[in-house]
Amino acid sequence: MAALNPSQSIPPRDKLVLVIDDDEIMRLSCAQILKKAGYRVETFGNGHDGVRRMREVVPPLLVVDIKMPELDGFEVISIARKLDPNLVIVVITGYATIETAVDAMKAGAYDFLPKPFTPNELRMIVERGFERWRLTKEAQDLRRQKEEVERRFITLVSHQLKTPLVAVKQYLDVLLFSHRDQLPEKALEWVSRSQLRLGEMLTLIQDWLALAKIDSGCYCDQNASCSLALIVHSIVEEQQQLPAAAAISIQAVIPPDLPPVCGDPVSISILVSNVVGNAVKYNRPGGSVAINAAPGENQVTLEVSDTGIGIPEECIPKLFHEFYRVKTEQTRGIPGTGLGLVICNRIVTELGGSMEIRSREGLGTTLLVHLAVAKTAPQQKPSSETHQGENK
Amino acid sequence: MGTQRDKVLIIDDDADFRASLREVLESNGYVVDTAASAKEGLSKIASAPPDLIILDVIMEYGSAGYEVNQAIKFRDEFILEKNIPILMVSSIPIDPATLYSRAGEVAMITPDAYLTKPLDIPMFLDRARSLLAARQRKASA
Repeated sequence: MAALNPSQSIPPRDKLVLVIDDDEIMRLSCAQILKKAGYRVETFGNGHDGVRRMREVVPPLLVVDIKMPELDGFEVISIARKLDPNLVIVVITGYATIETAVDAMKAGAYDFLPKPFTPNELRMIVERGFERWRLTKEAQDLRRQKEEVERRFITLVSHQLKTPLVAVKQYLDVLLFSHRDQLPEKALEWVSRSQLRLGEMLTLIQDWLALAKIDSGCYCDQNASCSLALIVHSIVEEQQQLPAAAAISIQAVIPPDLPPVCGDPVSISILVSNVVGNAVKYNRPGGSVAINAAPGENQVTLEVSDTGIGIPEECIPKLFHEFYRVKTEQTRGIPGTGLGLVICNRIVTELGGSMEIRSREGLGTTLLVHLAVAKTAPQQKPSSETHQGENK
Repeated sequence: MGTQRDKVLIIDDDADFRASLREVLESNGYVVDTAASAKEGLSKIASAPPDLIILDVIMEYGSAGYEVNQAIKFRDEFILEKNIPILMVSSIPIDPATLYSRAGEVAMITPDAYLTKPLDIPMFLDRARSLLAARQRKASA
């Protein structure tokens, strides 16, 4: 690590060092050495005064004596750590034993300086301390910036990309629904193709948004809880109305006393919607979907079985790979992004659960989703927070 | 197709949604009025009560649509309009009753029906029809 010239690299307001020592000579000499090196120094003769000032200014670096009457160095370290975990603490100790040094480091000190020390030793250790503070701060700023960029990107995709696409798709849907007869043959064909392609694109954006929101912590709130029964019923009702489910019977049997599961309702809805949606999508005309839920020890198992095309055994391990899709004669016409099960698996894993897939090609698939039972009494309040980043 | 000359009010801040929904409703025999905000919507409901309200959620602010729902169903000034059915439409993936199932005030934000955007047009018309039919049954009962 290159030695830092403090007068160049650190802005003046960030060059503050607090020195807390009950020995006046030590305070004076520390102040003199550090001021000469370009730092602003404030000195305090006891722990209480030092801590009071530390709370006011939260300095980058603190030089503190271990052995002091009343509030000793260890107590000052503990307060400083809580105040700002980045605060760099250099301990000076008159009775330099390995144990004291180790204890100070364990308590959160950055380094220690046994008395007596030379001006150069103090300067070096403070310079290194400041370098460390600067690097930590830089890393934090970068992380914050990165998170901010990610959040903005999610909002951008959500509002600037998804909303207009949904509006365009609805125009095409209405055009095809209300004016099909008036469209010239070519227009009808092309509008239908556009509607299809747009739908695929929207699904992809929605899936990508779901993954991005899982990554950024918008979804999968482990402290939240929700009723699986309510969500399953709501999604079954929705699925039953969709044209894809016209020839498929969906039956859900959920015990009324099922305990609430861990997770926010939006994440659990995305999960259930994908799992039930797959069971419908990969079914066959006249087929059925059976949904059951059973409480177990600390978990609830949701079982979704279909009488569909099934999954070739060798493909099952790959189902959780991004963009993987089973390519067979039967799946050719079925639209999908290859992200649905990836999203489900991420949600379940983030919420402390697990998933199992059992399938027999040509006979059907059973998906078992094990979800943790909610830890605390559920608390939900209507606010726009829950659907943060969601668009209209 | 639609029950004759029923009046539908669309409250949505997206002009394209208003335009396409107006088209599909008008071509199915409904009389359509629109409002571009929750505020405008409430004032139109008060001045010319519709038979059905199509209500977006996120408008001037995140919960604007929920507040319209609550005003119509629970506020005294809308005592005469409280039975107008509300079909809520939003891109929020689940309905408010499920989303906030354990909130004490969930009834206030629960509409008569909920659909997620992008709308499935036949399903949307079906819901609109059944809400209006239920309202008529109630009125004649």
